[in-house]
Amino acid sequence: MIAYIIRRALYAIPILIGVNVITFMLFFVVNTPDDMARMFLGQKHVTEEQIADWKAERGYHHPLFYNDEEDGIDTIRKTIFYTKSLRLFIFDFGRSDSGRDIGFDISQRMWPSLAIAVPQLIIGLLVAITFALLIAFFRATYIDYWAVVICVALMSISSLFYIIGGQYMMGKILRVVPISGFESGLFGVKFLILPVLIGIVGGIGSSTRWYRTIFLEEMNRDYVRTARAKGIAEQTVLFRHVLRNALIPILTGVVVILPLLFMGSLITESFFGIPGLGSYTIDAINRQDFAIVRSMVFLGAFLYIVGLLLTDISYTLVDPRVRFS
Amino acid sequence: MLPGKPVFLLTDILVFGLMLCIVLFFLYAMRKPHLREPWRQVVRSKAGVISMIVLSVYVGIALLDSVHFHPVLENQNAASGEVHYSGEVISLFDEMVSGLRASGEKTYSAPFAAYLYAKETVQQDDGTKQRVYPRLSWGAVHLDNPEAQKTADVLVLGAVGALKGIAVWLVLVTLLCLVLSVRAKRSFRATLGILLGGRSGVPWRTVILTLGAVVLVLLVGAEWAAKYHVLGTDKVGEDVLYQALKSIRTGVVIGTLTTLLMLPFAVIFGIMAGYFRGWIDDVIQYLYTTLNSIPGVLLIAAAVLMLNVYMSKHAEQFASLTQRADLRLLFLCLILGLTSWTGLCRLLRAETLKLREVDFIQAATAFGVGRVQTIFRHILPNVMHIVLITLVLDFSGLVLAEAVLSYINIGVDPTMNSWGNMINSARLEMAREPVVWWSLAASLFFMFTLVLFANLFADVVRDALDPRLAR
Amino acid sequence: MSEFLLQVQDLTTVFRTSRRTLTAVDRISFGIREGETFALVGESGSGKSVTALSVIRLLPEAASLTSGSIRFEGKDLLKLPERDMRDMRGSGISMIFQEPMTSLNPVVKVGRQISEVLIRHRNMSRPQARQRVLDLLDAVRIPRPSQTIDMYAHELSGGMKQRVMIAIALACEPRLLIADEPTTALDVTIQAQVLELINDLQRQFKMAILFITHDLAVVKQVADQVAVMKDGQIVEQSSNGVFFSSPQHAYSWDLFAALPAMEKRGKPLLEGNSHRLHKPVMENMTKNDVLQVRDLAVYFPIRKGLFKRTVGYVKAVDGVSLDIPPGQTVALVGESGSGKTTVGKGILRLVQPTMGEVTYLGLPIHEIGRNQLLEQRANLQIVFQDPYSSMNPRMLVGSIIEEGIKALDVIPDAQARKQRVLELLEQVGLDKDAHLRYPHEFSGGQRQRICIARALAVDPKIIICDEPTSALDVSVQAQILDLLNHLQEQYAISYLFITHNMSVVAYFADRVAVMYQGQIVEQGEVEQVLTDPQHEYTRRLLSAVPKLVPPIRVA
Repeated sequence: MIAYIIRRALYAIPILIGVNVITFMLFFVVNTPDDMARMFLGQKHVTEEQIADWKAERGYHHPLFYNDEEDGIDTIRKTIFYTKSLRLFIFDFGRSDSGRDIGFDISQRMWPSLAIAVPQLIIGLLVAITFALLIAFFRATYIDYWAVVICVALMSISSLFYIIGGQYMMGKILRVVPISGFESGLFGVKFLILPVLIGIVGGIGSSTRWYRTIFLEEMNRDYVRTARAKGIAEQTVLFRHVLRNALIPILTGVVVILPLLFMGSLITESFFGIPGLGSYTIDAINRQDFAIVRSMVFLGAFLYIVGLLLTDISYTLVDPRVRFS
Repeated sequence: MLPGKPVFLLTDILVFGLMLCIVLFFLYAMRKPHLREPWRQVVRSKAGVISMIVLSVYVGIALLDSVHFHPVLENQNAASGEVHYSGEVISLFDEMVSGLRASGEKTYSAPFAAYLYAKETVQQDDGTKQRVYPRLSWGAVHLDNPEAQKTADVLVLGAVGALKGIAVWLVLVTLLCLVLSVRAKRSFRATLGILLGGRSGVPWRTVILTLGAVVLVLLVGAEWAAKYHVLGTDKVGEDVLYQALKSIRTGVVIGTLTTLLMLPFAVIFGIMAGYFRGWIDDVIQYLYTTLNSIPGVLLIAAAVLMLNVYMSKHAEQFASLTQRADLRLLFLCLILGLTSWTGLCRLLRAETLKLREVDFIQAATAFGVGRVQTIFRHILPNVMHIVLITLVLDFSGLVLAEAVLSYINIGVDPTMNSWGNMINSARLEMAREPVVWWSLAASLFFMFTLVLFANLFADVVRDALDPRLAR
Repeated sequence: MSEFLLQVQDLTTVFRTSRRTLTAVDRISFGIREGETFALVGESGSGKSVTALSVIRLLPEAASLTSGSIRFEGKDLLKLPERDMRDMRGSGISMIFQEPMTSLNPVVKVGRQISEVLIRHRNMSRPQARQRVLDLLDAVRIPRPSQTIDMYAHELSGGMKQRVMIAIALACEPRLLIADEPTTALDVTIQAQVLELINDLQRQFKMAILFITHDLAVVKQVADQVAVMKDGQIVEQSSNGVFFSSPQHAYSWDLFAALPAMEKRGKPLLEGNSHRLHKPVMENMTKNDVLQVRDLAVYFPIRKGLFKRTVGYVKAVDGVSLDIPPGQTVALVGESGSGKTTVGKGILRLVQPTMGEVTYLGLPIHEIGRNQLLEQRANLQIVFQDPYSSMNPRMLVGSIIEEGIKALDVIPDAQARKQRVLELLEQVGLDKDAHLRYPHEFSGGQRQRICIARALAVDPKIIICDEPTSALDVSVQAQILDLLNHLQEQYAISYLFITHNMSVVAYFADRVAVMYQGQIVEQGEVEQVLTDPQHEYTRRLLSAVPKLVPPIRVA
């Protein structure tokens, strides 16, 4: 088991290197720092000096891979690849193009992201499983049919509509909770209600439908027939036998996104003015702050790989059939 | 034939290429019973035919909107006999709805409005100045007294449209019935009875009703749109209906071309990884795990940011704004494809892994059938259903993704008509008092209809093609 | 009160799909007395399982009971509300199923799955139930019940799982046990143990059994009453003694006739098939064996630890030596997991042998290069067990048969190739127009004929038949065996016949090799090995096979 985890963790290293190389190519090879500087400073009337200043300010003035102006170890260390890419491996994100410490910003901003994402995930999961179980109980009836149609309709609506519509309803008609903003502490809960609610409603269609498929698949298995042959009531069959088996794919599917919850949701956070990592990323995209986008790409990849690892581990925990050697 | 000089945008070529592929595939599939049977099941389901009809309207508009040309300039010098073309690029669809295109107002106006949505200072006949809602320059200009006449006029136009619609519908139903009765060698009356009684294998009654609804909506809409801004106008006074219709092409192109572009990679890599295993499998798995590990939105954001830099650096390479927007659209398809091929690749790898142990592949090996032949003859045809299912399943997700991406400015070109851009520019107007809702409502409604029917269609296709669900 | 515990009258069950209605059970009537075993025997699709599911009212959703009555202890089960019926299931009537592998919940401990019934029907507390489960596990002869009770299903072997299923079924001491092919998925030695167990428990609990099976030999061993089903109807019903000495219905006779047995050697199983009295004389051929296998071994590595190092091997085949004489049939017999299929694939190099030699007419198949191997592919062919997965569903039957001829370039001319395909179809007893159809349009037996035609197409000297009849009904099996015999007579092909079925071996093979745990424990002439087995395992295997001497029809 431990050997297995270590092996999986080691496997993550080449992947992170790959991610690093891809981002490096994207950000520094496809377009050189000069191009970035030019775009930032405006196309016309840019002097070489201005560009050099812009680059020096942000540490883009080194050569890409090999600095022949330096000696010894510094030929490697004073390069863009070393300062901007390799440092990511020790989670040194450096400074953003506007000069802020990215690592510090991330550590500050991940908590609001979590405050939205965690309740959204948990409540959404519970609601979707409950609905799916209900639909599965009424399988092959009109209730089932229309529930699926409603699910399809719900998932056909753009997430933008849920947010805009929800904000409009709250802001102009109901006026129960604030439609945007954030505050830490217990008092801030009121700011969370609307985004969490909208997140749940927006995701309910697709997840309910997906879970229903899983439940129905399980219900056709032989062991369910065995359970029925024991004379057990349908509800008990559903809860004791079907649910337990169906939860394996559902839970392991959730585990993979757990670490990514830190990253927050881009759209939700920017709409509701939540100072989380999602809105941080959006702002960076809009300001064209390459350093932040680069850091977020690496962080996202890292968290995804952690998620994969956790998925593997969770399989061994919840499914008695899976044992790793 | 075209009223101008044709322009071939890259996406146009690809879209028509894709259409050609689909047509060819269907002609091929019709001759193979195992390929024909699932599609027969699709056209036998009610949800299947309804969504097919609605989707074909969308696709039809998208195709019309994909024939681009430089229009002939008006007021030519007739004597010289020389024809001059405008520098602007328009499509066949623009030509068809030229009324809507040219119907600009100053700024916002509500659906069916006769007056602008914002007050203006107007000099009266007597010389005094007043803040009033001025009349629109195009919408409802045919009415002398809109307050009194408008409701009646709208109803009359609607009725005329409905009558036209019913007439067209009846012609269509008669034609359909004729064709069917000739094919089945039955009398017209008997065929009609079967159709209306809902006793046919293909649910023709549903087809007829859906056709009726679609024709009705189209013709009533057309009748209204000729005189009014049915869905109002936006901030710069452009007709919202026109924008929404123009956005169809963007949605359809993104929904289809993305999958098309990523298909070769997914299929080749997926099958190779599953069939050859060993180090090839390791490399391909590494490749897709790496790509997959970068959150999609961020990869797209990074790529689009870089594209921005590239485009601003090489601005001279783009002949026109249209071409630039088109290239950006294609690039977006590519980058979306790059983030989404891993899913299909993984599915195909898993399926190929299973298939290669199946007896008929072993039998082929026992006959010394080569690897390449085995892949093409035995594996590819048996994973094709996964490819097709992915194609239709991904469509709706991609249409929705376009809106979100355009909203955060990493989607299509801001000058391009798209639902995402419409929402993006309209969302701030929700804060206005009274609220300007029509842009938002129109884009969301058009998008919702497309995505809903695409989802329904995908469900039917999956049920028909997935061998696990059949039998 | 009637004399029957269970009385079924005019039962009809139909399946409705969107396109058609299919009558699976067609007005059948029968009765089961207390404590007796009533065997319902029939081939696949005869409606026997649907009958069983109808009795316990666990039909799939597409099926419905349209007429008839089922009286159990005087109550009409069909009129019982679902709530009362639930009380009946697991307590008055229990059922065990064919597939022990999938019939147990994989994520619930087996003890819990048994105690669930007790808690449901006997209102036991958990500790009480646990005690009773231990007793039950002991009763179904599971070793170390106190450990097994906390295990999951996947930790148990197939036989053990079926014992757990029996424990579940018997937990509340039902009056009627429905056993739906309870031993079909098990190896013959395990089958013998399970049958004996069921028999003992029946006496102990004094319950009636509705025993559903396709295997006449099993019926003979367990049944008091026998009913034969065909196409949804019961065609014959009588007591065990009467049925096996003088069956009345023609269909029953057909079933008996189709059974392979030692006594029928040298004669075709089905009437009308050409007679074969002796093996063809091979004057032109050498007396030498066509295929020699020496010390063949196929190991699969077990990888463990941080760097997936190979720490050991699964020795699927471990030193097998075989000789296949020209024009003869060598049977390779063994239970599941004995490695017999891997031997076949190893010979053909469909899996790469780890060690050993395979010599075909002096040519070392095991070490020749790719191109040379390709040339030899025509001489060594294979027919697989499952006729459903052995043909590409996307190809026409014609192209399937033609594929080998083309790939190996046996007949370069396209027209001649087409002609050959038609000939082959005729030889295996199919219509010529079959070549323009797809595999799914054919039944299992017909498909197996196509597979034989495909193998035959390249004029092989040896065909490895990997359980070619295991997935087929006994009457279809008889057709295929007759066909194989006929082809051998005509073309002097050698067969390596891989099977687990002793009576097929007794009827069909010339020589037999018995495989156990990757090794051949005994081989020799069929008569000699089957009548006078030397190895302990062979003896055990043979004694486990239910004996049935088919009645001889007096003309």
